[in-house]
Amino acid sequence: MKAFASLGSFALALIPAVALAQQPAACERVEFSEEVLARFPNIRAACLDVITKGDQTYAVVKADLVRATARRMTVRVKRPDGSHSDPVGINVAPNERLNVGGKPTAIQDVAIGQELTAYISVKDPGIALAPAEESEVVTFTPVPATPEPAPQQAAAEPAPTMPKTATSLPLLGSIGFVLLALGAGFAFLRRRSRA
Amino acid sequence: MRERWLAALQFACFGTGALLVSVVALARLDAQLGRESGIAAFAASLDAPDQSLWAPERVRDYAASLAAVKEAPLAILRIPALKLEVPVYATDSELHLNRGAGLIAGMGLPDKGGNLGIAGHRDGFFRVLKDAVPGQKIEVVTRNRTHVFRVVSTEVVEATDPRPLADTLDPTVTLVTCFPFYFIGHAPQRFIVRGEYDWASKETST
Repeated sequence: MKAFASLGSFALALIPAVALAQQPAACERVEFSEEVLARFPNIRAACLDVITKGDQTYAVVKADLVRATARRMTVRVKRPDGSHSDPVGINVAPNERLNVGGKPTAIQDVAIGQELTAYISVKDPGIALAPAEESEVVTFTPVPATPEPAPQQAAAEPAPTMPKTATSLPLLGSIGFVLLALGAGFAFLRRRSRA
Repeated sequence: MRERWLAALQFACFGTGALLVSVVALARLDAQLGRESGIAAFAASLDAPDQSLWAPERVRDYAASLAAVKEAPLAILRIPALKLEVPVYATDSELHLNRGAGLIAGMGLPDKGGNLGIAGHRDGFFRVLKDAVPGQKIEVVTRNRTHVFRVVSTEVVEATDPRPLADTLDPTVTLVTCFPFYFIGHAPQRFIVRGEYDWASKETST
């Protein structure tokens, strides 16, 4: 009886370990399309899990946020060796909430450098950020074959100009010291003229 | 008669000279006190009250009220190797640059990436930038996180050259001050310190 009990607890203890071990196996088994492999050559190494929801199957990866605007996030997918992929842009809605470290976080509260969970579709090259709730519909942003373009200054916004970073204080201070020296000179002249 | 003229000139020079030197001394004192109070105000804003029982809307309103405080800095800029620590204000107005550093209009924001432009006076807090060299750590502390950058380059450009202010895909920081550092009057050039995000020493929330 005791032997059965210890065997049972051993089997229970193994469950999480087996579950963890299955994650990379799922990543090994899943078939990525050629287009996806062309956009993300290291996807299999970066893959942490595979999720199937409805007719969508996607790989789970970790990504660092490099740029955030109200409607678009740019991330770099993390590889197991700590290196990053090229930047990839993801469209977001202004009122969207993301899962950041297990906590629901509003888009405007996400900061660069934060590690986010991202989904990469296994069929078509598309990427999405993990929503706050698992039940939410995941909308993928297509990943083009060309690299993420450099940001352009919006035509409506004035281009930044060099700031004015000099004050008149050194000039005022210098004039002040010259005047003090002149005052001392006049005092010397007065003393000499009296003598 | 000559004696009276000399006396008048002596007192006029002493009086005006003392006034100008006092103005400069007071401005320096105000800058130092402003820097210290700005850093203290920012530190106080980090010590948020226990909000575990608050409604989400109330938490959001509280955060918005902190951001709306007129003189509260948005971040703290630190370069430990240069012993530089200044509050970073929302604009590069004369008042803000007297009390710390300011964001350059139209450039990136501290938590949002892009090219984060920060301006400071070359005859004030940013004079130490003359000793900046590649590899030095630049920290930008916001209410969310501490962002670590590394100096990658320094250069002198004309005051009309917009290239250093161009937006970037990856997070960068561009510190701007006037050049030459020792110059009486409006300096014709700008000294630029460029830093890139240091992913290796990425820090967690503050």
